[in-house]
Amino acid sequence: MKKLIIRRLLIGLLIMVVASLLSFTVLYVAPGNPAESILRERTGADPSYQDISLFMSNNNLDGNLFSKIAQWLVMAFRFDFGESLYTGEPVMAEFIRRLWATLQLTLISMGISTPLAIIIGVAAAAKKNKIFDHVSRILSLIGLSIPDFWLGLFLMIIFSRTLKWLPAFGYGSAANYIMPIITLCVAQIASLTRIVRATMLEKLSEDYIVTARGNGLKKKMILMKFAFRNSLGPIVTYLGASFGHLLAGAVVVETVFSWPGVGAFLVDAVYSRDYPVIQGFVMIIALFYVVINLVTDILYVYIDPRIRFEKG
Amino acid sequence: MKKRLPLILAATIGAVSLAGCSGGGGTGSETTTASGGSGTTTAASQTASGDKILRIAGGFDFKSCAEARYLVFDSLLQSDMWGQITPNLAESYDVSDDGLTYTFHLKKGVKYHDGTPFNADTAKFSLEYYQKNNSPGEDIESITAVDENTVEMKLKKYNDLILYDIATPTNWGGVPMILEKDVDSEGKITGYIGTGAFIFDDSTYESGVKATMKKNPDYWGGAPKVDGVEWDVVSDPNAMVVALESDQVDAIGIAEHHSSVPYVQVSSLKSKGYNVETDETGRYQVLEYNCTKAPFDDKNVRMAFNLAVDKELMVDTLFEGLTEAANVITSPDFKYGPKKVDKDYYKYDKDKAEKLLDDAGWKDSDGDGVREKDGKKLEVKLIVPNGEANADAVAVYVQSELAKIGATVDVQNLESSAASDASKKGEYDMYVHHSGCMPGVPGGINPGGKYHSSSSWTYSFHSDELDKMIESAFAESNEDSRQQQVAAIWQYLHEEAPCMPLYSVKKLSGMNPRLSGYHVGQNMFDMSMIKDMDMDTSK
Repeated sequence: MKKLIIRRLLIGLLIMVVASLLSFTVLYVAPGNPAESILRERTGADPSYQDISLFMSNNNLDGNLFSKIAQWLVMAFRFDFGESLYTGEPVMAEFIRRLWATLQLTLISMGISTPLAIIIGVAAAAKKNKIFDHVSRILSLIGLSIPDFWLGLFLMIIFSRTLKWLPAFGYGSAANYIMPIITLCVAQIASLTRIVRATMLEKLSEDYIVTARGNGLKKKMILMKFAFRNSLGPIVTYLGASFGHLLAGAVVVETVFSWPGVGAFLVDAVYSRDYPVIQGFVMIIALFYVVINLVTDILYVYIDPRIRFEKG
Repeated sequence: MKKRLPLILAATIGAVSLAGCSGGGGTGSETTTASGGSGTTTAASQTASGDKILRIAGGFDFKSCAEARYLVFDSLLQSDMWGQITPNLAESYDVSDDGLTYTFHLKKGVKYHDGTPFNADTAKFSLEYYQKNNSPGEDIESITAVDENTVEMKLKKYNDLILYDIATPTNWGGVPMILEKDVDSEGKITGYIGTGAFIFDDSTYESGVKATMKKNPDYWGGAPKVDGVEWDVVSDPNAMVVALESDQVDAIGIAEHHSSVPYVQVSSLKSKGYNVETDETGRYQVLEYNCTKAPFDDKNVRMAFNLAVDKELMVDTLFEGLTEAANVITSPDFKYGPKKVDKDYYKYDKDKAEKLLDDAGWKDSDGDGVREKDGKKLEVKLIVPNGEANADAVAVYVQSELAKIGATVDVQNLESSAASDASKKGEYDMYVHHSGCMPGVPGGINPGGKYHSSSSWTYSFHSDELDKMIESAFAESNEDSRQQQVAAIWQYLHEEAPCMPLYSVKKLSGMNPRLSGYHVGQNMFDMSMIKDMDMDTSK
């Protein structure tokens, strides 16, 4: 186990470096120039060639791709990504502040949606083709089909504009969490319910279940001890992936509710070609993916004792 | 009972989500009534102490916005929306006969927010910061503090346009009056100690969330009427409208130079009793032509296109008449605008457009509805940069209008950086863009501007003749003579039809009726009018 963790961490380090390097190189080669986008946003006018070259030299942007990569490597090893070209703030400090905002959304919405989705999914599988199953399937289909921004604005119109119960934007007070979390939870519950139901049904049709039934075991016992326990693998895999996804991908919810999170900031950075932010953020988000995947793999061992990593 | 728990839970969630969905049909027709609000969100403008705090929705973080600088910093001079320069922190200024030396006489008794006196030394430091960090700074020879209240700026060559920068209190292309301690070790302005009407409170600032300022009671221009300003970041334009309607902010749109309030929301906001201000900034949305290759290397084709699009109809149908159609390149109201050019220069005239194309040799000989010349069809690529206001709708409209005269338009949406890269490489025939506005010389007729060959718009219309006209006009220190030369430039340019002007882009702001005293700023970034605004917290 120890060996596994060390090896995976080393591979993870490589993945982080490659992810950050790739994202930087792709953006560097892609059309667009940070000096131009940032100057245009700030002055509202087309920057002249002189303005652009002055901005480039003031911000140390001159030089070719290879010298940039060399600079980047130095920064990456020191884990200091410098300052954002746009805000002038240190990238690490900005990331940590924003990560906390995003993590809260991610953890709370996963904490709520996971048990609910499991309960609904298991119940739906147990009552296959009964009315509960149909209703939950239709609802989860609806939940999956509703776009985040639509649901967010819809909630805002109801709870902020009409009822005046909840704030439409803001960060910090408990009331600010409700709508973003509901928005995130709907899609999360909907997709996880479908996965739980499908996996459960697959397990329930296997031979050992038939045997268990034949042996006269209680239905509940079969459901929880046999089928559910064996379904945990795919569920945990999905949860791990969606955790990483929520971390970087809550962009829409963050934008609609003006949440000061990682995703929206990263997208803005891509638009303005804010290289230090992109490099830093991608690298740390990659780190999270690596850690989560590792945790997921370790969890497998506990979920399914048949899985052993020592030989691999 | 225990067995049932999951079921009950699931049923409850189902019921809740169903209730949410069934409510969806009703939202279209619902109306907000103020009496309906027995809710938990309170009007924060009425704080416990009774202070009048004006809450503004800002689309971006306070510190990354040029607009925000107008609240905290002042500049030596001021310019109005149309380019007339007036004194500000400099009570007056003299220009030497050769136009190379400017002497600024500073206001006495002005203090920075931390109590430091504003004087020739701080003004000198601010001007030197500009000199080092902005490209027109290269034209500055020296800056000297003559005495306590006098600063002298010597130029290497005549350039009175630099005064527009001196009239702008943002540190990007402007000269805010700052202190040495505002500048960090990297040379960036990160401190917010200015002489402006509002005092920034760094202790309550949250990056990407909010910023607060309190009024500067000793402001030299008179203390603001409100006690403070709260800048709340609301990134989504539709969320901004909800925030205004749910009384979480008092004003929206005021903190963005581009128009962040969706045009479609205007009539609904007005009908609910909110004040909507539409400020003319002189900025026009235009389609740039690539004048270096066929078909737009022929001025008759450019002119034909300009006449073929009914801009009046477009404004009425797309924007409900909220703004005006543009038939000249930039607003004639600008100091150096096309004052003498006929306001209807490019007015819709389809017959004339078709004749121009016929004469230019573009004819539909095979009867497929598309004109051709020398075996090449009249097909052009129109680039729509992401984020350009209303550009998608406008592009489709132009496409349909041009189809009527036998031209095919291929509309391509590009991410903004990629689009501007395409413009640099000339990979476009038409490009949705806008003319400039204050600060600066609008319309691109200054040295380095869009229609000067040294511009970064390499593929726009340029000629040696025009370059000479531009250079001569702006080297001319006699104002009458310069105005005559500018008039000649505009006449020449309009005949060349270098772009297709579409409509005047207005800056929209929505305000709670409890606010009063709004007036138009000195340019579309300026939000310093907030110091003149008052609020009636009883409303």
